[in-house]
Amino acid sequence: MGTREDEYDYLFKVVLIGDSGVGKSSLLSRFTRNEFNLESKSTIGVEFATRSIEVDGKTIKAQIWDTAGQERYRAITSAYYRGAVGALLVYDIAKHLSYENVERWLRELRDHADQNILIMLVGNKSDLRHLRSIPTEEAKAFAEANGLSFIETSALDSTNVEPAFQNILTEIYRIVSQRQMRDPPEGDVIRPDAEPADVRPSQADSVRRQCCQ
Amino acid sequence: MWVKPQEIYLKTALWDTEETSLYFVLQCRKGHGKSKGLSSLLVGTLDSVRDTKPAPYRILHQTPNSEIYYVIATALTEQQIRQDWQWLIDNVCSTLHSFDTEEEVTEFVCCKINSVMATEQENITEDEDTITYKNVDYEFHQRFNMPKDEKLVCYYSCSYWKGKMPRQGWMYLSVHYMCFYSYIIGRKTAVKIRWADVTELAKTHSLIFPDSIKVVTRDAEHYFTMFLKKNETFALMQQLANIAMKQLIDDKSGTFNIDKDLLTKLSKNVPKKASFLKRDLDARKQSNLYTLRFRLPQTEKLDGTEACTLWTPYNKKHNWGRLYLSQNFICFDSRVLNLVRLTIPLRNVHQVERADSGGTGSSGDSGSILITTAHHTSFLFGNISDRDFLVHKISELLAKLPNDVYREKAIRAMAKLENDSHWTPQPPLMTLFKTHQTSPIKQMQQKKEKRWEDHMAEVGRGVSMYQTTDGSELVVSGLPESLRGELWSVFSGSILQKAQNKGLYERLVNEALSSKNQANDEIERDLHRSLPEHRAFQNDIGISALRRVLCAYARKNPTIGYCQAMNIVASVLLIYCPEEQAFWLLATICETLLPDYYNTRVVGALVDQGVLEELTEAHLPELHAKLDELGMMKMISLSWFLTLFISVMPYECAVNVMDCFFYDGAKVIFQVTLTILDINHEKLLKCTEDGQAMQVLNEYLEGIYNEEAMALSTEPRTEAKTIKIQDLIYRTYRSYGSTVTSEHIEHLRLKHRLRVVKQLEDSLERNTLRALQQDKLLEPNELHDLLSIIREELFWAKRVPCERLEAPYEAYRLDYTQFKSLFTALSPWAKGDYAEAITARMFKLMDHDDDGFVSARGLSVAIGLSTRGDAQRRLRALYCAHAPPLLTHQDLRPTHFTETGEEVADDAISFFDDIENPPTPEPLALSGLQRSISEVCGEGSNMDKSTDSTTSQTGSPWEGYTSESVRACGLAGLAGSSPPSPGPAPPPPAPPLPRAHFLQLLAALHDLTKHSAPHYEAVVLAGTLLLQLGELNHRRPDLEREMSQDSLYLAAAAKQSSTSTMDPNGNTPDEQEIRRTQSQESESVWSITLEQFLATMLLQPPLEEYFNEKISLVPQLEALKQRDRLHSVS
Repeated sequence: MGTREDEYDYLFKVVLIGDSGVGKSSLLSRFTRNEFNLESKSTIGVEFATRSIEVDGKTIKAQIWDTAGQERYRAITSAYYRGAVGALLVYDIAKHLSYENVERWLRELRDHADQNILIMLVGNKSDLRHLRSIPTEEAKAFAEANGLSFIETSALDSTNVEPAFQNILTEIYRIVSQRQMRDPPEGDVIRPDAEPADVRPSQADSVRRQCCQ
Repeated sequence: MWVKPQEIYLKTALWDTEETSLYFVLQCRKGHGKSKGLSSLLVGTLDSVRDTKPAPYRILHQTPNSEIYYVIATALTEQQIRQDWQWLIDNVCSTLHSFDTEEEVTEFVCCKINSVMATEQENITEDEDTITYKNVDYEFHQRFNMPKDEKLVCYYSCSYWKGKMPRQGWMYLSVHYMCFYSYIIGRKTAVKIRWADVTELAKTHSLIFPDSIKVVTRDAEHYFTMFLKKNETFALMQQLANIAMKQLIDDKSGTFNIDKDLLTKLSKNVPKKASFLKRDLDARKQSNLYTLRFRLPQTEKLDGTEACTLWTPYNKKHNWGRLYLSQNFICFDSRVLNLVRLTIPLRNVHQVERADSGGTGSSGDSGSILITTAHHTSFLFGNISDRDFLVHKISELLAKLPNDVYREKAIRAMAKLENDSHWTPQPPLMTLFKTHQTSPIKQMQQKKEKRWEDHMAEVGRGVSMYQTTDGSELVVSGLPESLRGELWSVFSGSILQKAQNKGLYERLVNEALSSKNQANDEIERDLHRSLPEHRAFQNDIGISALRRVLCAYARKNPTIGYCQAMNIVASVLLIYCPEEQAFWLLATICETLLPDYYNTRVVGALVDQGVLEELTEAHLPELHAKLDELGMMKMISLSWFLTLFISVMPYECAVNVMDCFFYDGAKVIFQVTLTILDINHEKLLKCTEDGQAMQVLNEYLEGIYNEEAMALSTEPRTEAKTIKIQDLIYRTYRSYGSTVTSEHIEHLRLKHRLRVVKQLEDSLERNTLRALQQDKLLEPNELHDLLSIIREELFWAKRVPCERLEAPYEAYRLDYTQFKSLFTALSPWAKGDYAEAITARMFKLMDHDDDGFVSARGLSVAIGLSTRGDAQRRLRALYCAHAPPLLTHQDLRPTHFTETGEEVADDAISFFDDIENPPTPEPLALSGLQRSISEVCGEGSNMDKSTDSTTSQTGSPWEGYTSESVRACGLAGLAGSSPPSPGPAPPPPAPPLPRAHFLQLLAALHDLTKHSAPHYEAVVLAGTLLLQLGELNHRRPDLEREMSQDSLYLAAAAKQSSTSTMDPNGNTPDEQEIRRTQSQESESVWSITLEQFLATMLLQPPLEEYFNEKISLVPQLEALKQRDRLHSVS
């Protein structure tokens, strides 16, 4: 494949999780294709898209995995958390239940994802002001108490979508580059912990080698 | 049990004589019962090695001057043989004196026994198992300590490899277990394995274990060799393991129903040996294959088969094949694969007649029958060897057909009456929302239609069309849009379901739409996310139809309910089929074609991912290695399978895959997937990470196009075109059409199901353990053992853990009986006379939603608190377990038992009396406690109501304390015990204890400590102080809490020296006090607060020490495990 588009300095895997119907897929398509479809198909299993952004002159390729929200798919989708360095935990600001379930999703991440995964709580559908059922302050306080970053977005009017992804990717980048300064890099793929099972050895290297031929 | 008199010569060898009369001898086999010694050992070995399995008791008939003995009765137990013996003494012996010669006596006895048997046998139905089998069954239960209802299916002679030594013995296969037993010269080998624990079954052949069956469980591998019928044994083992897995998947009660109907049907085809259950299972298997082959409803039971020919009018030939008969269908399949297949529903059969000399040629003349259906179509079968029997059989089946013509009318009439709903089923949505077709496409469709019209003119239309090779070719090239709905229904067999369940859809829709449940909510959320690109679903007509179909299905099959992906499939079905037909197609997909795909754990889809992985490894090894390396082998095709490609391909292409899928079954999606992988082979091998590979496949799939149908959007496609769907399907059939067969898929599914279910179980167990560890009470190894014991307990109760939303441990739910048996075995609090009461109260404390079930966590916390919590937590838990409203007035009320233990029936009266007159507490009212337990198990809600009314009437300080708050207080300090609220909250305050409740608590504490004098004394001391404190609170009801705590210390100081521990009568002083103060009981409040209680109790060093003691559970857990598991005893 080794085309020009595949050139990047860092490859970060980020997962989108949250209840069914909160707008995970819409956030993804808004971020990766700048599209919004009021009516799209429900996600079955997992879907996937990428986009590259620039931070500090470095190209960061974000590999974003969108997961099915329905309870019964959870066992399947949790398999995709492995190797993810960031997670956007999405709820619908107009659906209280989706906010209540945030706790359960956090547990799911604790159980299946890497320990150092960065989590951002995302209150989506901020355009539905008149239907809001979760005050911004409440969610913000919850996020702080649980060590999550927080943002409210609207995939529909594209408010904050770009910053949401930018923020989490930048934050990941900072941590990784700091860690690299401390320990000399073995590969550019961020390794949240030293578990060999989660490491795909030097794949970014090989990509670059191909690209630079 | 009487047996046909048999001559034997050796009277005493191997038998001990128990009793004799003039003409009869009662014997017991050596090695059974009381007899011991070398000879009994020898007999034991002989019996175990040879398949004689004699019943251990028998009665012989002999005459004094004869050397010949006759066995006339045998029995498994002494009791049975005694009964027969007594019958002989009572009924026969006296008559025998009247005979002159001994020959006459013998003749009479034999004749008598024979006739007794004859009359008995009339009562014996066909399903009665043979006597040998019964003996084995009895031994099986004895040797392996099986519960009575465990059913032995079959047993086989074989060797078990214990280390490097084969042991000759018997393998017993039962519904839930496989066991092995051998007994050779005093060395016993017993193996007991539960099917649900088996992770792998395989036939292997190695130098060490030649030609063996390998059984792998979580803990060990076992090898069995030297089978007489290895294949039969293996097949049965597979079947049983599969049934066990299905039970784990379905969460249905594990009761195994013997299908008598099925047995009588197939009994002639199955050898009579073995057990009834074995025959039943064989029949079940044959029927399954039959229903799969002809896409019949799964309830259909095969009656018999017959080799014959079918005359096919379209090519004027007699085709050899086999005719299948079941209660609702006649089916035919040609000997040559795919040549011709036919299904005739019996309900359509109009006439069956013998057809002779049709003049159609030489082969069709003899033994022909002609079947005419109601639509005047005739089918000619020839060369039937036993024609008369077949005709007879068919007419018999016809006669048995339910005459549902009237019933249907009745249902329809009823439906009309009931039908006040405002919906009408929609026709195929494509007829309402037409896509604009260009003229070349129109022509193409017309050409296809024409071809099908011609084809159907030859082979017939509807259910009973001949399905031929020509037909297959037409299917592969894609069905015409206008005929799709009809043909899908015919091919998939869903048309039969619809015909058999007239009116059901309408009823289900009405029921479903008027009810509110989670499935309906989830469906609602997805209605607009199903096929939004189609105009039909941008509109209420389509959306409503989709809602009806999905809700009705969730109603029909609650074990599936609604699973995302069903919405996508259903919406496409609705485009081509009338609403009701779409519903039945969906049902057929969910239940037959893609079994377990959409259930609560998506098990079927995971199983098929495993199957696909194995197929890829076999057919595309290089690619498999690559995808495995990328870590995406297990997931690439999840959504492909779950949505039948609709969510990944343009829908007008996916429907062509569906054409083949309905025609040929699930193997098609595997074949198509393999083809897609094969085509992208090169590109995939170059990928360096999983995302890249996903993209390669996504781009390829989105680029598939169909020139013969109009795409939905008129906008130009953005994706690059990749392949014509027809080409993809041709290629699929060419590459994999013959190598990937349905039988192979079924076989692989079986294999992977074992693995997937095991993985799900393991991950459930892991998550549960992790959650339980957060309570920080029991050690991880103890929790592990505890959980496996809980599983065992649930297993015996035939309840399957089913994953729930709330938390992993909620999957394991124990009722009171189960909770009690484990709590009693493990907790030090459940050892004394008060065990029942404490257990019941702890149960109630843990049953957070009052539904009569406690989760695994509830049990682990209850046990953990009683063994590991610090003194304060233990005492608080005990306190709260005795606090209102958890412990109700009802629980305290003494009930009167008659001497036989029957309750005096004044329940209702005293129930209402209670409200006015506070109950008179009786400190050691054991009877009352037992009652409370029965109430805990039974009418929990009832009780709560009564408490509510009590507390509200008295206007007491207990107002505002709910069961939840008391529970939260009792369990404070556990991780996440409070409902999900950000940030930890302080435990809610505990209610003060009223006097009666306090006395119960005190009685429990007495009971706990009564074996150790210092502890007991400390409890008595503290109890006395607290009682006085309660009095104090009572007299000064306006006393502030803080003040009462001061007074506590005053009282403590004052009392410490003076109180005696026990009076001469053995009554504790507080009991006397109670009696004294009973009369003083009044409306004003006597109470003790949690703070007072804790302070006083902990002030006593022996008690603090006692309640701080950490108690190991390991010995108790070991004991419990021994009880359950007898894995390998030598």
